[in-house]
Amino acid sequence: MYGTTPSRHTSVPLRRLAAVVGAGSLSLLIFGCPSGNGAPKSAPAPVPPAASVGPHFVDVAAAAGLNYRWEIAGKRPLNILQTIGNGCAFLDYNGDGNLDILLVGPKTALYRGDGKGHFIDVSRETGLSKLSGQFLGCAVGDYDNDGYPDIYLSGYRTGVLLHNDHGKAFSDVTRSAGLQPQPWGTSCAWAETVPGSGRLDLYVANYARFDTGKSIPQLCESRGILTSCGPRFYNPLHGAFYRNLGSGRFVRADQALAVPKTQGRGLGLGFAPLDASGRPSLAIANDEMPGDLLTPAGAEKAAKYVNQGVSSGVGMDRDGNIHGGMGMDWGDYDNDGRFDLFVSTFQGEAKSLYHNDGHSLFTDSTYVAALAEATMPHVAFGCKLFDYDNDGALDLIVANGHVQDNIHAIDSNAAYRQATQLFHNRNNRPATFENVSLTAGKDLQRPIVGRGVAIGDFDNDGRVDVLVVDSEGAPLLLHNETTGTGHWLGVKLVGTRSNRSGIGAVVTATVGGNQRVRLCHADGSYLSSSDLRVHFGLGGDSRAAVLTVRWPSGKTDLFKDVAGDRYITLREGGGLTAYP
Amino acid sequence: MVRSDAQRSPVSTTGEPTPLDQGSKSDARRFPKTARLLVLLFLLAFAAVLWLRPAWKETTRREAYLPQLEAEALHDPFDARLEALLGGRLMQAGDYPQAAEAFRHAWAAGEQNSMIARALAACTAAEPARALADLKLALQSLPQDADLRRTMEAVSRLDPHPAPALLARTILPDGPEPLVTRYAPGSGLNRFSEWWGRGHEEASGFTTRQQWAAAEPNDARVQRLWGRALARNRRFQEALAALQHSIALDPASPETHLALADTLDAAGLTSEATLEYLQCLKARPNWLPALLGAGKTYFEIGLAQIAGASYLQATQVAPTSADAWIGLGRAYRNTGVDQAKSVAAFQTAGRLAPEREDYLDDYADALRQAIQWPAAEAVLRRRLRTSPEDPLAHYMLGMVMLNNTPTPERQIEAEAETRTALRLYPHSSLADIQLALIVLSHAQPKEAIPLLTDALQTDPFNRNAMTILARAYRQTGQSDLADQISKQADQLYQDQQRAQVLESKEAKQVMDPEIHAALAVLYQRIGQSKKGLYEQSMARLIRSDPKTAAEEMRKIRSVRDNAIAPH
Repeated sequence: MYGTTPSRHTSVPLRRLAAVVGAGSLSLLIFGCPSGNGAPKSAPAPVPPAASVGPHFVDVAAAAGLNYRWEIAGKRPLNILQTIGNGCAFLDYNGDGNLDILLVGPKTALYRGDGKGHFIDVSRETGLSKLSGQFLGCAVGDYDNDGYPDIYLSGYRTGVLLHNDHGKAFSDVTRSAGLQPQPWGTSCAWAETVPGSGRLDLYVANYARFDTGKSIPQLCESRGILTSCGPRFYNPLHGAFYRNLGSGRFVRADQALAVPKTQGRGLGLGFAPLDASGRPSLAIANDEMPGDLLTPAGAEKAAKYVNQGVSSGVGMDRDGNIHGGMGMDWGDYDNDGRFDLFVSTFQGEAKSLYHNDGHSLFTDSTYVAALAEATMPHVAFGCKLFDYDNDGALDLIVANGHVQDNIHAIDSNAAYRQATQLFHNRNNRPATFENVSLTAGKDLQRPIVGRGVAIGDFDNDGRVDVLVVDSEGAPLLLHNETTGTGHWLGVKLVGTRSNRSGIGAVVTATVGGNQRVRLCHADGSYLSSSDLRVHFGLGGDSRAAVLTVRWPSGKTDLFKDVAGDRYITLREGGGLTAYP
Repeated sequence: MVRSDAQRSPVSTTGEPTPLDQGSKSDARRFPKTARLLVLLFLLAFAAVLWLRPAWKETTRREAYLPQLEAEALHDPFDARLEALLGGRLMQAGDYPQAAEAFRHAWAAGEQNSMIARALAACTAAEPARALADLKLALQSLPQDADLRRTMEAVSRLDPHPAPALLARTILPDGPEPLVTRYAPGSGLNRFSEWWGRGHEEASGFTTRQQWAAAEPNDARVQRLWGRALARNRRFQEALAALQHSIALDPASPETHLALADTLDAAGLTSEATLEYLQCLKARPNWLPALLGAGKTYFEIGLAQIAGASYLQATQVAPTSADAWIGLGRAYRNTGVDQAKSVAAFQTAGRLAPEREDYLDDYADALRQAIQWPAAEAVLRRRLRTSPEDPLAHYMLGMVMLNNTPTPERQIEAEAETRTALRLYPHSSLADIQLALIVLSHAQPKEAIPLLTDALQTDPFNRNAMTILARAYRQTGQSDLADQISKQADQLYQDQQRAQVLESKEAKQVMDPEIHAALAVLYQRIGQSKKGLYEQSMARLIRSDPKTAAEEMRKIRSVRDNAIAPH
């Protein structure tokens, strides 16, 4: 829609025109014919270093064709089930190299993207319009390694596995796969928990025991006003772990992942390998329960998982307080080679940025990173660490929105609808963030009932865009129109021994003598799934001197002198090829 | 010199004496006589002052309440007689360690006699060896003292390991009263003081009230005054007895119920005090002292929301009462909702009483919770300018600095502030935890562990200390200990959540004694013993006297619903 050329200074109308007239041909010129050594035939124009970055995001949802709206049915004030919200996803369901959009809700919708910023509702033709249920979240991953990403939809008293039929339609294979409906499934994720198996297992978090029976409180009184009850009124539910047996069959294997040792009331979750074994650990953000960190107890493949949430330091906030964990994301925000963890939380609580000190030990660095003051007043949900300005340091976006629709009557300083926040990583030592929300465009400042967040470069212009769920409104498709951004590199992984999606692979780019470590993951955030392509901001450097991929299988591939400002495909044990 | 108008005459322009000059000469002649009179008067006055001043001092000391004596002793620590009297009054209050300290001061300042020596030994009777050593030391200084010798003999006849109470009685058979009488004899102005005191009963002194109460045992008002006097001297059991006696004489007196409530509160019987304040408010719904008292005790029990209702009502009844606004600020702060209102309440208090600084720590905490960290820091620095020995302010300043732009330099300052807080108040679990967090951030878990275990010794139910300790154990490779302490923290947290859910149920089913009883148990398990006792008493009241209980509950509920609603 806004052109695929990395021309940073083109005005919006001009870029719109370029999109209509010649984006496809430009795309072909730039990405179509990769050279053997990874250098593009047509190198992009030099990009100035990221000195004059001005964050700018524009909501283009309506113009892009996302005619969707979330509405909360039923009485008001809202109860805890009504207010839980929904998720969304960026995925490439048909393998055309362009991101599509999945919007999850009672009416789940799929929009096919053309890579130029246009989306067409394909819910009917793909069979998604037939789905019925109170769907909340999603996980995208190619569980059968057929090259087409499949979808798991979580929900209240539901949960369906949708097999992707060669990018044409989805079939509900829940029953045949051996999956059961979950009592209150929230965030969910795919991960190769047995390295080298090449199979993606599934974890689905469950929230709490809730129904409309008389014994379960629907509303509670706060300062004399009836409103949604806090989570502590509902007994926590544990998640469900399904091991992929291959041939489209799954088996419940909670013990293997130490699920019974979790705290329950899980909302956000994400896998990341924390040591060289490649076995992923699972962090779960629990609502008013200590956070979980399920880590493999040993290096061997059969080692059982243990819950080290509290003792690792990610169970609580800096001061040892339990918080209302909502969303979370893994990412190496200080480029020290280890994946750190961000957890979004409730109003009045610092949103926790846990610095990974190694050996599965973390220090809450929220205050040092200057994230506490700006985030505390909000109820935060979806969150992603991503490099919006391509300067090589992961920035942060957080969607906010209160859970009590009448909160203003209870607390005159609080609001139901809250603005989304964007934090720029100053890339200093120790790493600190700057709240740039107010200068990032008026659409970001629009108060919404923010819930799910997904990131992905839907127009393949190298600037990562953002999709946000407004629980009582239309989705926000925030097109990244940041000026003065740095060079970049996008990597699509294709596993051969590992899972085909490459989920769990660790990609390291050496740029200007510094290493940047990124994770191939779609999970994290809240109820949502993001673009699986691994994105690197290269700053002032137009190429990565070395690019290594450590696959879940344990195999490592290395590429030298990889030119940037393009998307590439890396096949496990193979070479670098054109994207898609 | 006084002149009449008749003496006035025009001023001479010739230089001749005028009648006025003549008059002046006449005055000058009289001057020696007037002057003599004046000098005499002056001397008399001077003599009177010379006599009156010490006499008045003796009388006021005789009438003084314990806090006054403490303040005076702080001001003049070398006044041996004052220290001796203070020791006696403290002994009467049952505060033997402090009394011993005062007697030591008295002895060191020169008041070396057998009475002081025996009083000191009696105060240390909890450690018989020490009491005996005190007596022996005194005997070395006063080898000929017959009293001391007799005391030593009596003590030597006791069992080798005597019970402390028996030992104290043996050393000082008549208790502290003779000592107090000796060091608070008063003066010839005693009668004047008593006369004045009866005319200004609220300002009357301790001995006046004591004698008055003895003289008029059936006067409810006099007994109330006496009860108040005993409470001011921290003789709570006697005070409660006097006040109960007063209530028996005049059951409807709100003043006496208020005195009883204040005394119960001062004696640490917070739940009982709350009920008494409610009695007062039943009689006088808008009575400021009762509203303030109810607010304070509700707050202490942990019912900040209801405390807020009382204080809110107090601010409406007395909008210029700084106490009411400060209480309201504290209550709002602890409800955890709408911190801006807490800040606003403290700001109002600041305008009403700009000289007051006793609430600044609370104000800073409200600012901290309202995420106004620079403002909180400024308030704490103001507090520390005038109260540099305030450990809470040092601790909070450290905390705010760790929150607000914790650059390495500020982290160093925050650590210094936290260490100062710990030096000033060594057993603060909060400061221990804060310092542990700081040293943990420097990757020094071995230094953090003793701090956290100290914190847990002071506050065994501190979940934060547990979880941070678990991490510290992990860091030092003690995974088993880490798991163990994590489990404890989990259990505690689950109990805390259950308590919160039950609190909510209790609000809807106020007359269900089972909920109150279950809450009492849970509160005990999570270390909130005051709340536990309150719930226990409520459960008991509902079972034994449901009508009264329902009335009390209705009152609590109506106060909360009417006053805490958003305004």
